[in-house]
Amino acid sequence: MAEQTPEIVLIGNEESLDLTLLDLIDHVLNTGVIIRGNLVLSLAGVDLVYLGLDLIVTSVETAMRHIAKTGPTKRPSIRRRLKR
Amino acid sequence: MLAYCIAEQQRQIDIPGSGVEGAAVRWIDVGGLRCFVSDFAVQMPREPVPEMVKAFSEVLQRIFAQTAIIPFRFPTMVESEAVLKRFVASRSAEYESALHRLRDKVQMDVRITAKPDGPENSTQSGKNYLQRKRAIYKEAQSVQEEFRRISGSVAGKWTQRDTSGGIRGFALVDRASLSTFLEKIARVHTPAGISARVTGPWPPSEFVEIVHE
Repeated sequence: MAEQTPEIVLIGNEESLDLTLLDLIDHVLNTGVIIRGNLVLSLAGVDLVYLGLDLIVTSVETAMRHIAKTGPTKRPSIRRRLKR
Repeated sequence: MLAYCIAEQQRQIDIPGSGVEGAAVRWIDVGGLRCFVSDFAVQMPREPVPEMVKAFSEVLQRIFAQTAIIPFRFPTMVESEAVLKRFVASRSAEYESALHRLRDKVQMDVRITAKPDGPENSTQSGKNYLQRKRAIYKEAQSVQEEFRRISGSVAGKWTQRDTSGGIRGFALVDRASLSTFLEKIARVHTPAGISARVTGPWPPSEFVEIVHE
């Protein structure tokens, strides 16, 4: 199949780069093959995104080993959050 | 490793030099299928997640421009090549069938929503609110039907689902007919108060029915 498909196009009355990015995010996060698994993405020891059981295939032990390498995660406690 | 997508094996697919986090994209063959992956450290990201999404999407688009793909949902990470092979091999018949059926197809998304008309009137009654919601849905439905009618036979198949703010439609279009499709739908008139956005071409994920237990 040599024919090239054009880049993503946007037609409509709400043109915005942000919306195009949202479309990309929507597509890559919400469509596609799912493999079951579990993980937390962390940056500098702070949990960024908890990825549900449907997204990743790796053993919990392996994931925890990887997370442990980055040091303990620091989540605000429920008590601290309630005080705000 | 991070999994991007599955495609049919072809001698020559031009892949981008790097993907998410700048890691080299490579492929793993499983029977007649080819899976595209790159190395991915679980404890990152160093970049903001939107950058990763863009990089992931660019890899998909580059491959999808050349052949049909079934994307993996981002971020699908696999522990090893053996795990990925086992997973894909167990569903290879479904993937091969879908890729064959959708070989020359792309998906166009049509999102029809009500334009915001100022702050919500908190004093409106529940009945008025529901009536307004029903009226918006009816209008969105008629715009969606207009998209279907105007695109005619160029879009071989349509599917749609309701969203909180309107309707989302998906058209299955031949790659070769994409420009005709775009020309046709550019003529759709959207009434005041209704917004219509068309994006694509996307991999036809809405037309792939693969059951995951």
